[in-house]
Amino acid sequence: MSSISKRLLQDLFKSSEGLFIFTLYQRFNISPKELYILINELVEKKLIKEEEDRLTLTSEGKDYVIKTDLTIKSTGNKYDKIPDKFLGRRIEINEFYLPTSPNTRTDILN
Amino acid sequence: MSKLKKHINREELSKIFALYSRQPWLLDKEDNFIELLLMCETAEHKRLILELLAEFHFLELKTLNNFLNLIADFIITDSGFSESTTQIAAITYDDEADSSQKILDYIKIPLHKQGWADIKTVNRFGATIKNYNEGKTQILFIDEFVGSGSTIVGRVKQLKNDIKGDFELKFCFIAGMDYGIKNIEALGYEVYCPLRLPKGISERFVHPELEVKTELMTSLEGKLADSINSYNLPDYSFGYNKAEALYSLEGSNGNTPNSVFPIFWWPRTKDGKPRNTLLTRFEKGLK
Repeated sequence: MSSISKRLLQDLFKSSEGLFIFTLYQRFNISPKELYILINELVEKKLIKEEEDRLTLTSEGKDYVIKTDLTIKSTGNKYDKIPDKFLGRRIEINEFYLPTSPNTRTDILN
Repeated sequence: MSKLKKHINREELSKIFALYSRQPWLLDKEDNFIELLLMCETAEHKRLILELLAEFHFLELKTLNNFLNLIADFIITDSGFSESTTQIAAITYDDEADSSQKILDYIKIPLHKQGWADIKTVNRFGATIKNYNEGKTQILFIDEFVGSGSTIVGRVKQLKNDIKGDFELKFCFIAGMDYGIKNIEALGYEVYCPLRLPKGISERFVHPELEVKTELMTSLEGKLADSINSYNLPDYSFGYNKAEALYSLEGSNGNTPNSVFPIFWWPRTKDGKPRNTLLTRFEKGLK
């Protein structure tokens, strides 16, 4: 799912009464065509529904937002999202460790 | 994008969405569509453009094929013509390729599938006389689109002048303006046309709205170049012969008729700059 789709779902999740399409059009930096296609895709996936120019999340849409953690606001810091496989044991303060030589200052090595 | 955002209000966005549902071909022409909307100075101008586009017939291949089948069915079943004495002719007069020849070529396959595998086709108007003299006395002219019908009326006059004996004459068009078809029918000839169109403004709006919409379109046309090479906008104002057509075969690799409102296809603005038009009209030297 594209980031703009996720953002649309997040915005709808925060709005209990849903949002007017025009509100989303003003909020997002996309053209009418892009918004039209985006909404149609989400309607087809039954995640949102449209009534009189207003969009709301369906119950499936609410489930999707909750289960995929779209409700957690991102800090925008990529180091907050390091995959598990790259995480090792956290070392203690003042514990010795062996540095990776290419990343070590040359004056220390000499 | 920001210019467009300021230019479109909530009601217009709603209409654009409704238009996209009804006319999905516009999704593939968004830049051209936006440029057209940005040409509109007032909300009333935009409303008129959106209303006209909502009524537009942009023929996709599937629809064209359906119409070709209907025409073949008419020719074989309802025209009363017989295969051995019929010639199906394009109305093409000169040596320029045109859509009449295109439709003549397209109709061969539906005719063959429906049983006429030995029908005589004639790809130039002038050759109908020779075929008449060879026994093809039932003449069926075929074309893609008829506007005011003035070209057809001229051809009928010429045919009557060129053929001294008796002949039967009928016409088939994919689409046409209803008033133009009636002009041909008024001469006493049967016309088969699966898509008959009313004039885009003058047969859809009534007083006092009609005068308002007419004025709006006139002011929109005021933004177009007065002339391009030998072509003068006044000749095409509201479409050639004021046909006010809302139709194009571009969805099936066809041309846009000059009967269509020029705001959709006239290629230059008042100051001579090229436009990114919604539709394309091929006319020799018009660019």
